[in-house]
Amino acid sequence: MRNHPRLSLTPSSLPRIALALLLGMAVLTPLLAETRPPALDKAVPENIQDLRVIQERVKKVTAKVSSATVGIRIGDAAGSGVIVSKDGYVLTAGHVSGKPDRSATIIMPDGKRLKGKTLGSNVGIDSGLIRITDKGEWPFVEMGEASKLKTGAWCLALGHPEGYRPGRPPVLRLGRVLERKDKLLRTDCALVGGDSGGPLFDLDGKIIGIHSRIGDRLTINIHVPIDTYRATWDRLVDGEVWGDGRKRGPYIGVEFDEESTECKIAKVEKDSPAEKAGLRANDVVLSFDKKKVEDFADFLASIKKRKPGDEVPLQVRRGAEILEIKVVVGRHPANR
Amino acid sequence: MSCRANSRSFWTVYGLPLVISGALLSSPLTAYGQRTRRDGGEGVVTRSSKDFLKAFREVVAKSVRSTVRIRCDDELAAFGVIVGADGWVLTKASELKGKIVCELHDGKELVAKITGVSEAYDLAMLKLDAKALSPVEWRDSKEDAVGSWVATPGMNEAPVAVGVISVAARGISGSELARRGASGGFLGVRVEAAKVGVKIVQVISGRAAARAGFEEDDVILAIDDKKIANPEALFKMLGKTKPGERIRVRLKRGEEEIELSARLGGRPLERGEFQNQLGGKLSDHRTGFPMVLQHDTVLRPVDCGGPLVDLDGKVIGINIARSGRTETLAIPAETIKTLLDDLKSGKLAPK
Repeated sequence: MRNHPRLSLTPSSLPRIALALLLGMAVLTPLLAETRPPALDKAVPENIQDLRVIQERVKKVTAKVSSATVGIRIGDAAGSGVIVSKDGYVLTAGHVSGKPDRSATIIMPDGKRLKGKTLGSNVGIDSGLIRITDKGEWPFVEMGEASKLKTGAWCLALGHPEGYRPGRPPVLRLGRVLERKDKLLRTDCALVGGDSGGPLFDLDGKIIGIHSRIGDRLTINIHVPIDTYRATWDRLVDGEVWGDGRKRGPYIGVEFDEESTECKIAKVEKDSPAEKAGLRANDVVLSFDKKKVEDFADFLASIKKRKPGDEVPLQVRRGAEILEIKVVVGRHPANR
Repeated sequence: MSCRANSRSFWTVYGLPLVISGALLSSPLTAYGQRTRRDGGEGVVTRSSKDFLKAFREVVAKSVRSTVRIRCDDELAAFGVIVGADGWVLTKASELKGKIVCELHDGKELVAKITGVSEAYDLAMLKLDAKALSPVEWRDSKEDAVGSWVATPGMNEAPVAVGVISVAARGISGSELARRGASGGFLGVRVEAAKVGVKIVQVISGRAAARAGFEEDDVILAIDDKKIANPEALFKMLGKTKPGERIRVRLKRGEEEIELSARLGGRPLERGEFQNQLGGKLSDHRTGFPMVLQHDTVLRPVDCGGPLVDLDGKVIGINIARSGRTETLAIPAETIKTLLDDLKSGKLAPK
């Protein structure tokens, strides 16, 4: 079990002030404790007073969340991200983080560069995760809930248009939620290349989305709803890549001899779980977790029922010997 | 990379992914997006709607009297800002041409003469034959934090458009200016600094350098007999050339020194630039200003040149360019104040 911050949903029944204390977010308390001014939720600001109320809130939120908004560089590609835990988990877009286990550079707003590693991504919805690997404690922001948003709600986009530029802090854009679906948020916060993976905030300073893609109009800016990150947190942390037909299912890394009527191994892949367990070419698998294996299809079906990380005893015939070999089921490599 | 190819069908549904590829001279245009029909939001009043702009009438009530509409040869060119009661108007220089006419708030039309130009800031001072005009009230832009509302007054009661400050006034570094300002002929190489000269790390296929026989790991030593010491020098040198021009490049290849002649091409639209064009026309002259305030107002290029005001109606800058899908740039008031005297006195006379 990996250690990661608990980012479970908070019961909405808790009074807001208690919630703020509970989370230890002393900074947030002034924002949440005050009753929400009606001007923040009007369909149209009516006068200069309404505008002032919105302005004060936007200024306050921006000042608070900028420090956790980062630039990301992976190879030749530039994107954005946002830190969501003290120990350095960074939300970004799936097309920014890409394959797991790649090294990434995280650029703080003051230009400080940190080392990081890409984790999992859901290619379908375009969510992705990166972990800062440098030791330290990092400024972070809280994840909110996109599912509760109403169309028309004000939102703030931060990020690094055209990639991080020295001397330019994260760039603010203000807009409104124009459309909300399970798999996307659409706003008029204008985005451009380099913003990918940057955060969208509500007026409480909580992340409601991650920038993903644009269309040819200024009203087509698409963000990944934050809720999916929470719902799939463990998979992202574990480095799983899924969605869009590219599943990374359970895997042990052997090829089978198609000529054989038994479950005979033809080849063991390099660095695979099978190799680590000591399986060799020409071994014949007799049983999987004490269950008899008739043939290759049988064996494959048994593996597919297991989760990556499961340890399974195999009975194997090697020449005249019968061996007991324990194999730890792995995950299918991402690049296949 | 197979995973990228697979994802295309997905992107075409919703638009363009927003990751960009690094270096200026390298990124080819990757146009895999389709037009989509999404628009509006069920009944959401956005910042650009008339109903929304009404709330800002009070904000611009004073500054509209200091705003002029500028037409050049009878065509819409820019807005301008009245900076002196006796007929001084500041505007965006590069939009001016031919016969310049300023329309005042009261509808009066006056012919203008250019008295001063700041090339760096793309500002021009105009002189009208007028008295008792209403000059703007300046306020240092730094008094308004990021997130503050900004409005662009025009000729009507409501502003032309509104937005918020995206990035406070900042100086643009020399190297960024060199990169962003690069606009000359296109060689088609990706480079990095070397001990001596500039090392080529990638030759873009089909472009000038590839056609001329450049290879990876060649080191550029000189162009037209002028020594090239670093990438900045190379950008600067190329910035002065034009597409179609020939340059002689001295290269170090292994131990050898060779000279190749390259016919420069036009710069292809980068993916970043391509995306920047999505959402409206950009100003022709939109980079290279040494000090800028960035805001997210969506402005047409012809609506630049006029004042930018905060919620108190104070002028914190002059809109100088619609510079990208996400950004409009203004020259901050504190910078303008240092230029005013020189622009009026003829010290910065037009060429």
